[in-house]
Amino acid sequence: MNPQKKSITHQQAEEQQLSQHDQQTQPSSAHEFASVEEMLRHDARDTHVPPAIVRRLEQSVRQLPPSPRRPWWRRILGGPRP
Amino acid sequence: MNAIVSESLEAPKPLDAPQPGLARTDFADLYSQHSRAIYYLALRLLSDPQKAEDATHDVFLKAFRKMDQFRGDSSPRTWLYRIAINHCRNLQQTWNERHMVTNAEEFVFENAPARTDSPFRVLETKELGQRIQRALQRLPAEYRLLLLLVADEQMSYEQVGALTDQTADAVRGKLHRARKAFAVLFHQSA
Repeated sequence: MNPQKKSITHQQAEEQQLSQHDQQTQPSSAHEFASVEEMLRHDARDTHVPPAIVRRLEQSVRQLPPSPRRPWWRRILGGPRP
Repeated sequence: MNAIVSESLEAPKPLDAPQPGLARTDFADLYSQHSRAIYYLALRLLSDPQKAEDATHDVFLKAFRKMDQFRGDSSPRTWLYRIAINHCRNLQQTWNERHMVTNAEEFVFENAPARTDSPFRVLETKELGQRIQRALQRLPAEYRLLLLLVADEQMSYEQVGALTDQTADAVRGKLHRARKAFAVLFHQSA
């Protein structure tokens, strides 16, 4: 590998690390929201769903006992389960 | 609703039987499209990430078991919200006393100077969630729910009204008071 190219790559990596560190250590920027709803939407977008939920769901779904099936016409028209 | 319950009449797919994995079912789409909204609602109603995680799991499991009963009278989001609201209400009944808002506090909202027209300035967005939670917790339960539902851009006033058993006009009327009460509490939480 070309030593000059390697040096540039190393420098780029260091810069990237510094940038990431800055992003982590700098306080988050100020925000202004025009309404309660706008603020709640921002908060909702910033809220991450724990990945554990989908794993638990997969497990729970597998453990569900098979229930008696309703005929297709009853599923469409409604009515009591057998 | 065909997108979710896409069972063919000739070759019905047993939705209420164990599935090989959520990723290969229509239920996976339902989860990916709505899990954030349901988790956020549960988080802000229950004020506890672990309880919200449990509630979201339970809501989607209930939805999975009832998928063949869903006839598309409402949107999937509204249907899931209904299950989530009922589930959270049941959970809250056990520790309702702690979350009751006194009449004295409601009096404070009504007599506080109106600040709903002023913007909400937040210096540290890292603390935004905590401030929102503190303000929501002190709101009357009905105001809290209305604000959370109306903030969802997929929900119309009519749909919010259907979920909370009132007309769209009643929702509009209460929202004004809910916004005002929230603004008072939010500014107090700084």
